[in-house]
Amino acid sequence: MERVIGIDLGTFNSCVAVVENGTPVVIANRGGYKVTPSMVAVTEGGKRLVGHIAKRQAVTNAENTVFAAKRLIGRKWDTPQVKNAIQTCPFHIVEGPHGDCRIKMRDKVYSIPEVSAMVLQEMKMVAEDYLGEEINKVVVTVPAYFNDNQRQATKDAGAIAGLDVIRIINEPTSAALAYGFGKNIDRTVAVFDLGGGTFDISILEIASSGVFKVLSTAGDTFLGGEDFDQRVIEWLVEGFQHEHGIDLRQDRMALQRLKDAAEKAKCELSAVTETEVNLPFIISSTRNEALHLQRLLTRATLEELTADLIDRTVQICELTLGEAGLDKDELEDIILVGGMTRMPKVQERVSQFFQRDPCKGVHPDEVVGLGASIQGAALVDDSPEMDMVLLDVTPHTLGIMVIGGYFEELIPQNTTVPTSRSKPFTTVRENQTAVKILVLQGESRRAEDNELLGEFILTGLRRADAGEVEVEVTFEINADGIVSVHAKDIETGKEQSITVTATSGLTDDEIDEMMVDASDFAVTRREDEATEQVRQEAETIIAEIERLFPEVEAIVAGSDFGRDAIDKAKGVVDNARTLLEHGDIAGLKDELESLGRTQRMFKGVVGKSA
Amino acid sequence: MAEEKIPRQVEDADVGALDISGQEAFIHSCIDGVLNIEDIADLMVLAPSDVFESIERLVSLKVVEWVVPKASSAPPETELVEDVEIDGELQERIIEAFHRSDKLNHYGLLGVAMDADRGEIRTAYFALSKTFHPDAYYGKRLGSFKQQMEVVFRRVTDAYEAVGRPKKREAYDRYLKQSLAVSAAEKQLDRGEARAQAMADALTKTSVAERQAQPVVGTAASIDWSPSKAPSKAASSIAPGTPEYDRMQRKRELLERRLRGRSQQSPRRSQPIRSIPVPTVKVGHKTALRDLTRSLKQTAVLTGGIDRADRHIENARVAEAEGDLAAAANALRMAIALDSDRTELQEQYQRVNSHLRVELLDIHREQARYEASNNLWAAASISWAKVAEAAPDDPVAPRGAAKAIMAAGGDLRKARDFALRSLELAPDSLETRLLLARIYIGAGMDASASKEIEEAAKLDPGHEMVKNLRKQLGG
Repeated sequence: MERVIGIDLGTFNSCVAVVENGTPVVIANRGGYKVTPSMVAVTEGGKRLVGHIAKRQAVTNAENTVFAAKRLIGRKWDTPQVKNAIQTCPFHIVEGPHGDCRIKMRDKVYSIPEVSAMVLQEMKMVAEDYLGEEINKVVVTVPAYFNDNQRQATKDAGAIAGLDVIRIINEPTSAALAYGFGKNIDRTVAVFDLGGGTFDISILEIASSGVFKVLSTAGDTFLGGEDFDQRVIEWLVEGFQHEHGIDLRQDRMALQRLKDAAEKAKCELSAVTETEVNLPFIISSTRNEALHLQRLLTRATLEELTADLIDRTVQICELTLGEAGLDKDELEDIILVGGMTRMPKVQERVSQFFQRDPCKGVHPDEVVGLGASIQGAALVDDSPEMDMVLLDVTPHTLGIMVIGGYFEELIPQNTTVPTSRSKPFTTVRENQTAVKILVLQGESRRAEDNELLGEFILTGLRRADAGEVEVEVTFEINADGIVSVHAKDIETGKEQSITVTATSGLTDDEIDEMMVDASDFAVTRREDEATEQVRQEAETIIAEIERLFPEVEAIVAGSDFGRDAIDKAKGVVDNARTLLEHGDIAGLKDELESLGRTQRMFKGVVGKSA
Repeated sequence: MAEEKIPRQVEDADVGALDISGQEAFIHSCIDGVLNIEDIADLMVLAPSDVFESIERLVSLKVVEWVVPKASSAPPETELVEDVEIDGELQERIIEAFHRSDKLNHYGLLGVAMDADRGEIRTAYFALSKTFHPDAYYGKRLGSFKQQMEVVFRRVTDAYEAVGRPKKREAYDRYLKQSLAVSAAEKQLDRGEARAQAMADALTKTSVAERQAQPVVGTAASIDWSPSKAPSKAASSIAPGTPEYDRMQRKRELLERRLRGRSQQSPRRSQPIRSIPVPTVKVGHKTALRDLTRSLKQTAVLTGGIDRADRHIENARVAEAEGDLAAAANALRMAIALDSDRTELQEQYQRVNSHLRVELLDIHREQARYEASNNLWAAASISWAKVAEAAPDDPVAPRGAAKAIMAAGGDLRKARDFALRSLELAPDSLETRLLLARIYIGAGMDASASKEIEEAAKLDPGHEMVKNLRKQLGG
């Protein structure tokens, strides 16, 4: 039995898990963290950085550090969402050759699946290091509200990373799997998933026989923690502008620092009721004076700034409940998922709305990854403890365009898959010998407002009066979530069909090309691993020295010996920094000894004086 | 299931000369070499085992023979020998479920009783999911079984969704009950005519009746109608709310056509016993059965007619009091057939009949609404058409019919006729005008469509649909 890992490919953080001996576990990365930032950067020297290492250098390399690529995946260039991202992202988003959007880092242009592939590859390696074997199969989670194009693009990302994505599952569903796995319960639950970038709500029935049935699901792919951060940033920027007359948004580096500070403040306010945002030297004034940003943010202010965002989540909950045909009191538990659900106000509103306290038994950051690994194991593992079936739903309505530019529904949203539906259609003109089937996904009555998944033409119809020739259109979604559409001339039995795939803005050739590219990359990346350790060690020591610096300086500043030692230490750190920046690992390795000495010396000074 | 036998009439066998019961005679008349035992049982609301018994007797009398139909209706042999990685038992289960699932209603599909509670339904559904969801066999070679499993899974899921939640279930149960009631009433009405005729015939052919009197009485008394078993069988043959329902409806219509066709083609067989109406459904069926049993007895001892007419009048009174208007109307018709001189019977019959029509109208209307809201457009178009027929002054019904025909992809000419009728009754309806315009566009009659759109524009020039349709015609 081949091992399958589960990856929660998040907007801001990703997590990988695997089922070992019937127990799902989250795998920590080399830094010991269970989540890895979904960040990718290219350094001046052309090196690709992924995860924590990319996040650490984001402030100094904002233009070439990509985060939240998930918000762009599977989206067309001319959508408002992409336009909005161009406004707010410090990195460069450019138009791709298929009306898709791409990202420029240094002088190379990357497709979005390519960027996501880098993150997936990182997670793959984390798992391989832990398991000590090669991993090829994966279950990846996506927001429930992702459309088919976004799912396809995510699959493409897996392919580029050299992974066979055996199943895409919805994040809240995944969370429910982790919640219900091995518990032997019969329960109807709601999963409230407010993550970094997206909001999802799903309602499921869990049966002790190991069946998980999604009843309904809904969400908003542009509502998440980042929007909360954005509110705080705006508040800070406006305050600063009021005080100094300078718009901080014009400065990319200031914006990146604001972003970090806003996120940090927001997180802190989940534990305390007020926090100070302190950003010294945020920008220089017109008279070349250094300006600092210092402002007190209270929990109450944060709640006020974000009240409408929380309101929106509650509205969506209400809608979903209606979809499922359930009353609030029929829900037996509420599962909170995603970092944003740590915010007390969110918890309060959720409890208020559902009239029950949410379940506290799951870890909001890890539960989605765990669920993905469970689904992976359930598919390939025949053992009785993994005997379970997930009955997921299609999150969007599928249909075709009919006369008048209307959208004719064939498979309504929240239909359990696998499923199929047929409807007869007729020709509209005299002697019409062909019909064009436009396959669409969405909830709008107008075809043009929905997402186009594909199109094909059925030809060779009999010449006849309008409305006489009947064409039966059948939509099918199989258990793997693949949509296929057939159109059949009822009289002649002539058929035409398409399988809806490869609409992620990449051609098959391009994916092939990128796979070669990425596998080359995987090789180089592997060689790097030994050196990565050196890098990390150096970084850790430098951080420690810098932390102790002010204290040591205060203690030894009086003596000549002290000044000497401090200068020497400064020299060692600066040297190591330069080596780090240039990626000179050999040099860094040599420098490790002097770094270690300095660290020991500093520790000694501080220890003695204490 | 594996070796299904189908009964066929032996040609040139003289059934009239045989000593058989009414039930056997009727079963014999149903046998056409196509229907199987279950079909016949469905039609007669008998347990299949009873039908089987009767047919066995007819076989022993050499008027009926068993034949094994060609492979078309049975699963092809290849399905059993396909090289797949699931065991034989499961393969058989899949094949059986696949071939049977379109014949069952939601309860039958889930394998639960019609009064099962939510927990039972849930448990049944989840157990079926684990058997039929292809994920349970991920990575295994399933061949053609995968698609069959997906079909079965979809049907089971549809069933669960229709009856798994109290609100939806209520609507479905109401619909199911009404479907049964309405077809019961209609069949009684339709057959009432034939039955009254048969009675009249019987009166004039007393000698025939007398010759057959004895055996009929005996059988009638001993027939085990087992009403508790029969209704569930009848119920399980209808599955509205699913595409299978349409198929089943078509099949039913086919069966009825066949039966009608047979009696028309062979008038010589219209002996009294043959013309006995068939109680096919559950609702009102006790009354109908009682009525039938009585009339069998009565036929047997037929001498005059007047006192029998009184009994029918009494039956009608009881039936009406019980709210079974169809039975009441039929009883009155019988009475009239037996005693055509009493004009008050005619009046009474007219009164009951018009009540019945009103009741049916309401049911059809409600059904049409349910069907339309559940996308059962073909069914909705029929229901609306019936309403339109019964309530000629109601503009909503023909419009509903036109809309449903459009939605079902049906005959545009019919849709147009209904829309025009609706418009005649309510000329100022924007909705109807636009509907008519869309029908014309659908039929490629652009000039007529334009005219309707302009009429609609007069009613509401700013309407979005008016604009859309105009744009569409322009381009």
